[in-house]
Amino acid sequence: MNKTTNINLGGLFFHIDEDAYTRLRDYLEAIKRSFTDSQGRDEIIADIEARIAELFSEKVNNDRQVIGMTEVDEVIAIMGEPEDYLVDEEIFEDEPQTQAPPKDHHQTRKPPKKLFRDPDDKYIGGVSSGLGHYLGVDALWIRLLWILLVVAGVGSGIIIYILLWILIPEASTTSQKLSMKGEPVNISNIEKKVREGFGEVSEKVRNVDYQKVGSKVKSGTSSFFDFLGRVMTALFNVFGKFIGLLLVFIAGSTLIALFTGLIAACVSAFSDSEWAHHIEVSNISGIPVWAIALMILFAAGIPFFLLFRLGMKILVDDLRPIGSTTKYVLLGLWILSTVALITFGVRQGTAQIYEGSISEKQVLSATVPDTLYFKNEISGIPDNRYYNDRIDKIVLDGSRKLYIEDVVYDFVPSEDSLAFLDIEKKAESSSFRKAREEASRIDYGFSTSGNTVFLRNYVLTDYGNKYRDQEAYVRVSLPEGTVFFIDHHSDIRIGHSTHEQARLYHADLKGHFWKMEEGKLRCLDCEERMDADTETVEPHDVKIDSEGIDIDVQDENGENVKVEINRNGIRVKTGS
Amino acid sequence: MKIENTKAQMRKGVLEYCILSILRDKDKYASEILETLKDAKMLVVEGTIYPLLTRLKNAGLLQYRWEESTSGPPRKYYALTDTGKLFLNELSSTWEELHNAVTIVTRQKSSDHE
Repeated sequence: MNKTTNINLGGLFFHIDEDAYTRLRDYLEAIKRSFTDSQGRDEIIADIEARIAELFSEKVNNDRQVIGMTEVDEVIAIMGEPEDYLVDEEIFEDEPQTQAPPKDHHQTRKPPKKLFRDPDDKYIGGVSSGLGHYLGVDALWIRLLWILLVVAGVGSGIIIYILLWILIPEASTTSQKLSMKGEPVNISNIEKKVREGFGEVSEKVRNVDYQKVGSKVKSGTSSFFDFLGRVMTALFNVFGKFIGLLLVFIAGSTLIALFTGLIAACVSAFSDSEWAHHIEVSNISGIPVWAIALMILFAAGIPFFLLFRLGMKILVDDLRPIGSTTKYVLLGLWILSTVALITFGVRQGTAQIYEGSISEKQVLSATVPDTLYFKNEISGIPDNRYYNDRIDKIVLDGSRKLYIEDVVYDFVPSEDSLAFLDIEKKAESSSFRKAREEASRIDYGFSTSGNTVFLRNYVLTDYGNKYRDQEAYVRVSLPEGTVFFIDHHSDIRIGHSTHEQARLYHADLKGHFWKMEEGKLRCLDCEERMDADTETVEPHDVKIDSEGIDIDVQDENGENVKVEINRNGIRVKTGS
Repeated sequence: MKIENTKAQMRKGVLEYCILSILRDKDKYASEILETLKDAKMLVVEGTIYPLLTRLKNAGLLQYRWEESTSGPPRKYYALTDTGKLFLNELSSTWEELHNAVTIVTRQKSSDHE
């Protein structure tokens, strides 16, 4: 007994057995797949159906007769197997484009591959194997790359993976699997694929012991991730719109911000605002700021624009696709601006890799007075200064100078009877020669009035020279016996070596009288806590405090040992 | 190189020519065309004619009209267009030349062998 169905084939009515119906339907489907829309698929199928109906009606003697498997097989034999259509298809491949140049009929072009996730070869979502098929690389390498990305990219790979998992469709049908691998989708390939599938199953059954361990692990993870995938798909459907909205919002606001930035940068190029000067003066690449802003807009904005589009696509189903010209223009712009930005970064980075310096010696005064007073030079400081953490200040008076507060002074003994200043000007640039040139453009000076020396705590350079870490190091050489005094309120930065000496006295250099004595600094008005020769300390004294360790013991013979350990080092002194 | 492909290729050009020739004098519907072709053993399986007919129609060489049939649903009657007629004439002369050429060449060969 057989169940029958009624069909309308080419306008004729037939009773047909269920299994025969299935066979016929599959046959028609198979033929249908071998044509494309452009070839007039529907029309061809309609014609073929009409012919099959005609053949059937020749075979049935009366309306009550049922079409069975035999009739269907006979008709298929007359009409030809799907492969027969295929042979003709290949031959006529060049036909639809009548003006196309003649092609070699034997060579069938490989159709473009499509990106799918491969459900047959997966550990998690099949993204890697899908990418592998698409790029023509073994999936193993891509998996290794993922691991590397997850480890090196602090997990960012996971997010990318999940995104790809969501965005790339799974190759669920045979034709999708074929286009995933770049094989032409036609009947013989589909059949091959199906046979392969059966082959694999039987193979698996045979090699069950071999693959037991491997496949167990694999199926374990993949069934778990299958479940996870389903849950995620469900969630994605529910929250899809929300995610789309979020994407549109984030990408949209980023784009607005980028545009605002661009406009601001363009305006700044022609304005006189404070921050614009800070940027201008730090930008030593020579590329105008507005151009950099434009490049940033493209380099960052285009990916965000695509994200924006993605969000819109989720929200609006029938979004008009971007034309391929636009796509290529966008891609080109993105690549160009990214490369340009990298170039800019390299230039900016290498513009300060060499430090150059030039030195000059200037005599302070031929006849050194008994006491020298050091004060800040105030008169030369321009009024219009802007503060910036890096470039201490920018001057924008009429002279348009760059004002950098970076001068260090050290007070050292002079080799002769003259007091002089060793001025070392330093700057950074992309080569020693250029750095030295930059250093020579530094404007530093001092002035004297009587026994007062006015020292600058800043250097000046032309605005156009830009900020290149210009600085000055000044060694004030003072002859033996000179007494000097640095003004309390002065903003003079004292160098490390001078501080080291001064700390012997637990006193600030400023606000005290110091004397150059035996090549060392001696404080004249400090609380003399550390002068070992004159200090009267109680015997058998061991003192440990924040200053260090101070041991001063005396035995019965009157010999004493003094040990001091503090930030100045260790001093041991024995004697009576 | 597959013999099937070569055979099919040889058939291809001739098949178009045959179909157009069949329609030269009289409009016919698909089954009639098929019958003629099958009688002449030009076709192995029937199905392949349909894509070819559609192709020729799309190329503007054929046109069709629906005609009521006494024994079933309406039938598609194919006819040559003006372009199709020109095309057919051209193919006819080409076929003559080709036939002559092939005859000469193959005969020469067989005489060489003797």
